[in-house]
Amino acid sequence: MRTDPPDAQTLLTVNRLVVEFPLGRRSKIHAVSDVSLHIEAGANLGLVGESGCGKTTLAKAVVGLLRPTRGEIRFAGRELTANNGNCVREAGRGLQMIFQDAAASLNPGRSVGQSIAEPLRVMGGFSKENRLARVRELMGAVGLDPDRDFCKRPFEFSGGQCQRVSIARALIARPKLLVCDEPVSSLDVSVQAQILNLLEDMKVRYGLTLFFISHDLAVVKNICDRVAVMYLGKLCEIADSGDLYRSPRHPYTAALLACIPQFPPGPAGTKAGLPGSERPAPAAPPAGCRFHPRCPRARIRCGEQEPALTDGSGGRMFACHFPLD
Amino acid sequence: MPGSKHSGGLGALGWCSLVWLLLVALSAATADLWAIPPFDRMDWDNLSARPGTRSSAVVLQTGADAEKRSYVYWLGTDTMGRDVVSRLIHGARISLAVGLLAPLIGFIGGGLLGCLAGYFRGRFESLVVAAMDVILAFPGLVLLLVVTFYLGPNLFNLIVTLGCLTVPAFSRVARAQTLVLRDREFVQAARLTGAGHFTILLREIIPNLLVHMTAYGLLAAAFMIMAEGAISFLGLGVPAPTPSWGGMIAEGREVLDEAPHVSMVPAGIMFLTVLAFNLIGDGLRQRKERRASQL
Amino acid sequence: MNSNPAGRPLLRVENLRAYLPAGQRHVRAVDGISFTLAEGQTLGIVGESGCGKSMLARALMGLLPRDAVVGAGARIEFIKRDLLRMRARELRKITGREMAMVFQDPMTALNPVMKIGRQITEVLAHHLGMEKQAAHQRALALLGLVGISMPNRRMGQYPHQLSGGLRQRVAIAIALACQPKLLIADEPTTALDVTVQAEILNLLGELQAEKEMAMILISHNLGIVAGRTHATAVMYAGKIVEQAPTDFLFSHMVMPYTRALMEAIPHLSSPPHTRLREIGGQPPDLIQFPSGCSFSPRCARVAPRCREQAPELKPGHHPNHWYACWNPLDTP
Repeated sequence: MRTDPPDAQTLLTVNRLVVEFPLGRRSKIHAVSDVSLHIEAGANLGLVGESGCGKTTLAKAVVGLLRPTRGEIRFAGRELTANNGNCVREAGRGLQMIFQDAAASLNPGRSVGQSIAEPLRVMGGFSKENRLARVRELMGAVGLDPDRDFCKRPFEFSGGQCQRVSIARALIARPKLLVCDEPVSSLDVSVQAQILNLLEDMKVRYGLTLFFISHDLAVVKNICDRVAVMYLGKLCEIADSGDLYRSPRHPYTAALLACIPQFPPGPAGTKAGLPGSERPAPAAPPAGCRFHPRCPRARIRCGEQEPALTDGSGGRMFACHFPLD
Repeated sequence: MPGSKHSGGLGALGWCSLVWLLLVALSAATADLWAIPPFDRMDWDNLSARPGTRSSAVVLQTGADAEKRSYVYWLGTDTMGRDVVSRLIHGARISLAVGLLAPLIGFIGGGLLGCLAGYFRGRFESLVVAAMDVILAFPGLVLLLVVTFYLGPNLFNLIVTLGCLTVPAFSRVARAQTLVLRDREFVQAARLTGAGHFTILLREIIPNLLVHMTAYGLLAAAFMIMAEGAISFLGLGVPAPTPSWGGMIAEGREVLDEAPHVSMVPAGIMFLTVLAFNLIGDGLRQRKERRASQL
Repeated sequence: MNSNPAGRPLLRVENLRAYLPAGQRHVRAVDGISFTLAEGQTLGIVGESGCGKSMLARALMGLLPRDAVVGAGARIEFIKRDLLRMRARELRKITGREMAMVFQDPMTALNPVMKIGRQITEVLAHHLGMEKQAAHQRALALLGLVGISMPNRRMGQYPHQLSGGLRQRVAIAIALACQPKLLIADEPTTALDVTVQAEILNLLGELQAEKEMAMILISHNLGIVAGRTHATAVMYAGKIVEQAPTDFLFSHMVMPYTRALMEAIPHLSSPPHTRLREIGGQPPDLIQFPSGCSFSPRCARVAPRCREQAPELKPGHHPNHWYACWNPLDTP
């Protein structure tokens, strides 16, 4: 089902995207199954899900690091055919990504200043002075010292600082959309706050939009305007952040919200959790609604017919036969 | 070693090895300038002479042709009265040439093939891997025999044949490391800058391959020197009178009990050189691992 | 510092210091920790990476690296016996049997080439001297205890055939095999999904109540210890900087670091784009200690005295509340 018709403001449209990996001869891993969403300029979209739900695969497919099996990705109106796996070029470098392990995303043999300058060098059209000026500007913007830190290697920095370098590199070519794949998940709480605030600042300063992917609903809700929830390759629910928190309609969203450790502690300590067996593997998703084996509200229909994304009120969508209200 | 983290990183043994190799290389390069007898000059009065024998009537390289001088055979002479020192120094040229040039062929050829195979994968990779397996399975000695027989035994043929035989090993090292690197986040990030395959290979993958390959290359060099020695011992190497360390060992076979120095001295020198290559190769590898663990 | 005076003291740690060599100098991983734990009590230890909490856990279990140096005045008293002065053989009789540990990453905590069943029965045979049949039955019972369905089938599987949550349950089963009196859980749910986290933590809570086991729950996430522990200690740069009964701590914290930690985490109830309260600066360098309080370079309430002299733990408003700060939050 197509999402909203393309807007002049729509930056990214994903249409019925399917990504499957062959597993041996007979089976496949259904990493992403029929996902459609869109991102509008200025409105950060968050994507939440647990391990194995396909969110990282989706992110990589969007930027062209993975070739999708089926489906369409459009950026600023142009279709990205992932020719040569290089959506970035086609997107005119309007699209960039930062990774979870920031230190690993930097070439260990190169100084961070050179790493930050690299996109400009590949792009061409910048004199050496221009490049250096831009690098210094960005290093200052992300909170690094251009004089002291330019020549250092990645291993001399902490995780948080490496993420700053990674952000500087991603932003140097002035992209419009920044895909963030779990950028703060491996950072300490105190550094996490710094990086999240930094991303918000960068958004304002450079007119960015963020596509923020994480397993941490609290983080996503804070930094994004709209949030999408994924489970086992499918979208469960998309809504505005506030709405999602106040009144989730999909049982999985409700379970995620209940499981988040809260403090001051919730009433009598939260005893939430999902009953039933463990999450099934993406190679053999259950028939019908993929969440039904673990859903406390599941009925017979859930095991037979897969629910489609239906429109709710206020621009939200959910895929459930028996949603919460 | 606590010091090696901040010093050159090679450690004491590594530096000693480097010094030794430089010494050998320098001697080989300047062989003609030394005040030693020519390597093929036979002194019939001093056959298989012990190390330290003095002779009063020796013609030197540097002197006029008939001028005889007093000279001490520091390492003795071989079965034909030729000065061991002189033959060692001239023989070093052969050994080093084989030891450095043959692996170079493998480094460049094998490294390139392996890197491309690991990066592009698919059919090309299968083809390369199959080809490498074939070469590996091929009996190297037979190949050498054939080449020597049909094309003549000379240094060039030897180096090229041995070099081709090292290509599979290098390609394996290169391919394995490329497979690891291509999925690392920094290569993915490089793709996101819009870089094409060629740029990524050149700027991201190959520089990170070089240290691995060099470490392996030094070990291969050590092996090649020994291989040359064995081949010359078998008589398949460069023909007489050009000296080579392996050939010298072979020549001393007959007099092992009376004049062991004729075989043992070149064996000892070869041992030290091979050891030096190994130690440096090891030192480089340790240094790289230390760096990598800091990531 | 006993938060549950009714229970008998089980573990008493006094002035524990553990230094790790780093080149010519030392990393002060654990820098003077003291606390008491009673039977059946749960202590939460919270801190960020590098604060020394994992080293503390290892020190308690005798798992410190071989080149670690333990301070001379340190004591770890477990049921009246000093663990630091025991011989290795006697220590091994206690760790694994009366004290057990659950680690963060279940994949590396389990032997990948050994079947699950054997990993459990091995522990039973080694510590309790059980026969094969008896051990097998007990292993089945343990798997059931930790909520693993089809235990017979699981016994014959390898770790890689199980999901992360299941592996962690197996690790807990192994830890509980000999009915320990103390369980140390070092970030037991950090590597797991959120929905599975809650289940594992609930499981630990239930088991603890059932077996009257004491537990030390270590985490970097304040939310995990909230509501699940009797007392909580906050660590920074190898020291405990604040400790109190958990409920009291969350409502009456006085150490600026504790408050900063709480405020740096985004809350579900706050509106989107709420600016988070950062803690400026970098995590502490454990080799070059600044003089004075280790948190002073990053503290918003830093006073001159903080930089000169390291604060000692002082009692607070509650009998079991201790904090180390010259300029705590309740002073103007």
